[in-house]
Amino acid sequence: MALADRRDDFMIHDHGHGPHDHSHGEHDHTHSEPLDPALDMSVEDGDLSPGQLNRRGFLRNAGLLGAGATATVLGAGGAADAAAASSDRRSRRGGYLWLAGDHHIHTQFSPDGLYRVIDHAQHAHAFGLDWMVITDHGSIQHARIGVERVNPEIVAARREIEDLLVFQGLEWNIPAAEHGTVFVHPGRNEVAVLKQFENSYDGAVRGATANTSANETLAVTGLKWLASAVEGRRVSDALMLANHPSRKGIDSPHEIRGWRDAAPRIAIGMEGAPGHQAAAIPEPSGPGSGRGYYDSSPDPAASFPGYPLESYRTFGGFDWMTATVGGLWDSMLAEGKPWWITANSDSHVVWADTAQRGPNSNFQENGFYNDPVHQTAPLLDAGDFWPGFYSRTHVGATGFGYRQVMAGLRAGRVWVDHGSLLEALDVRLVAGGDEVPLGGVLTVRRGTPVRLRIRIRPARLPNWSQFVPRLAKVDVIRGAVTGPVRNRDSFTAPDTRVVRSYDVSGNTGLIMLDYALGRLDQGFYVRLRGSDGKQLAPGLRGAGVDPAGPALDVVGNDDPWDDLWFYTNPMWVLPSRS
Amino acid sequence: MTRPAPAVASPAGSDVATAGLDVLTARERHADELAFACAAALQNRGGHGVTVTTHQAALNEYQHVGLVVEVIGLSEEVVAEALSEVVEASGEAHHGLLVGQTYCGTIELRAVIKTMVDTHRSRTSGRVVVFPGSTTITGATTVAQLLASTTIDRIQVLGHVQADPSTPLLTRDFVRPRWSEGDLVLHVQPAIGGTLVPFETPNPTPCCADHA
Repeated sequence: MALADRRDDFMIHDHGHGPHDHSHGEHDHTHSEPLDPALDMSVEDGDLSPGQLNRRGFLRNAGLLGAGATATVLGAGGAADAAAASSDRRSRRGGYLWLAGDHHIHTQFSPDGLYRVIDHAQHAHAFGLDWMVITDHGSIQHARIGVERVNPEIVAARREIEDLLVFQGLEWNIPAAEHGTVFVHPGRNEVAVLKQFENSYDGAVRGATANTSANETLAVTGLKWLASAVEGRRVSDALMLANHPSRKGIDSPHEIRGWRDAAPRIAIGMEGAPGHQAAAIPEPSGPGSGRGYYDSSPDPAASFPGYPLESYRTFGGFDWMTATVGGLWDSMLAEGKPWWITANSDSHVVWADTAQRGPNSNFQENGFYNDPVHQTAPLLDAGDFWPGFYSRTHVGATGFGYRQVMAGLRAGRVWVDHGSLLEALDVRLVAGGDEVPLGGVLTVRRGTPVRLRIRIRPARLPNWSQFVPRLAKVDVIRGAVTGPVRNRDSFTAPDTRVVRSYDVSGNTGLIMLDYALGRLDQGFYVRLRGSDGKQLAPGLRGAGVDPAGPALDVVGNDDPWDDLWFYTNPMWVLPSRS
Repeated sequence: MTRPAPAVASPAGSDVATAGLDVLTARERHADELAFACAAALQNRGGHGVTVTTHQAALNEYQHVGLVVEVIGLSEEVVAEALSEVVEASGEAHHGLLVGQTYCGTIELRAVIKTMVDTHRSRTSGRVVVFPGSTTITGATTVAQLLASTTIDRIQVLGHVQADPSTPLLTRDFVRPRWSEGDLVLHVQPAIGGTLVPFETPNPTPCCADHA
């Protein structure tokens, strides 16, 4: 049925004075662009023409994205094939292989976990993920036992499911702050590096959870140590992302900025949407808590006092930092520095699953629970989904591999969705004969017209709740680049707002939107967001900023399938100095 | 939200005694227990209109929770005597109590408590555990009833939504309004069945809660 009722494609060329609708027949717009050698870091400086070298030098020196500037546009070439129209599990779009994943998953090696690595891996694979990260909680016990004992399970899962990338990581207790995913590229030192990191820098292991400046420094030192482990080639790569950043109000804005600035190639972002998305399903069918288990209030001993009470709740399943247009995330993007968002399961115990911990488990003694066994009653008070079941982080990779997933994440070629709202998305910022994908930076002369080229294919097939979600709207969010903040605890971007909202309801074919962003004056960034349109409310910074944003999720009564969103990471365009 | 005429006295008159106390607790729930003990000690001595507010406090880098107590109808001496009992009963080695200008306790805490009391007087921050009418609002009520029977000035729904005064409010026997711009404000959030519940959850999910 889903295939049969597919309608004509939907196309708008929008020049800022009202949409012009053009209905076209089936055709796909995938492009094949040659890669600018100045952006291709596999081409040595000496092999570039003076003009190309100048351009590369500028991008390097712009300071906007530092080393990441070139990485963000790397690999734009490659043959774009006709797969955009196919239902191949992995299709190249705009030159990238889009790989879905999840960087936040717990196993029987977490004190609040249950499943084997292979349980998660099999489900992740079945539900369509290409990559996943095992992130058991950091602790003295985990550093002693779990970090080593989980590795053979991960290695076995890699062997068992060949087309699933299984990273080993850990959920770092960030000193003085929340949790974060830390993970490394597989290799002979993956366990050694993770173990040394955990023993040296985990807040729980080091007794460094209290909100002190010494502990904040320890977190920064840990990130620098990870960077040095990569530079010294102990591991090929390492990344850190902040998890559930607003849950308890203890990730202050200056701490997040501090992680980003201390190790920009390691600390790359945060969960835009936390896991535990089943936690607000009402009792007795579900836990009846807050979505994401976001049901806390400010802790006077630890929380950042500036955060409003709203920040302790989710909006359309997303964390307040990301869901607020003109909020904390935007205030970081307006600085002109990369900080990416993801969406993950945080899967510990799966809602309505029929497993229980293995009998005679002794976690205290052994550092893991015995393998789970069957039970008859479904776990209705569990609040998590399997990896890939509800939350997906889509990474534009230059190929299928661990290195490429990590590079794509670092480049910010990332969009996220809930409930399989979209089948595919390709967004380009276009100006002066050049273009960049998500995460990219364009540098063009002042006065150059800039446009946004959006290609979205809404879901064609049913999701894992057995219905085909319907995309209803797409929002373009734009904000000025205002440079580094003076107050590192600031969490507003006064210039950022929704500048265009497209009603795309009823369109099931390829949605093609062209939005003219005017001639470049001050540098700016754009990002996209969209939803099924079921739960909308004016944004926290007012209807003038965000007229129909995500609504506050109702604690104890929130069906996550009835409120689906996608978010993209941003793209920037900056004036060149000449 | 239009406020009905107050049915209970608010401790704002000249005969209000104000005290600050600090036992260096980092747990808000512990501070709540102390607040109830303070209220009981003062009421036993004939005090009324008792309001106890918890405030964020910091001794050097040690962030913790302190208390500011206001009561009508008792002299500062009696207040000091009543609250000293509470502080001593807490068994905490380091503590301080400031009543009016009279201080006793750990010397380093005096400035911390003074700052907390001064901040409190601006009525712009602080979370209120005990307030006139607080014992009467249990179970289910309505927004209008809540405003009529307590010193809460207004309610504010998270996300800036407007609430009708007749909206059912399920207190869950846990009501913690906050001082905001001079008013005592109860923040509430939408809940199942078109009801409202206070923002603060009586039993929030602890970090790394075990759901297996």
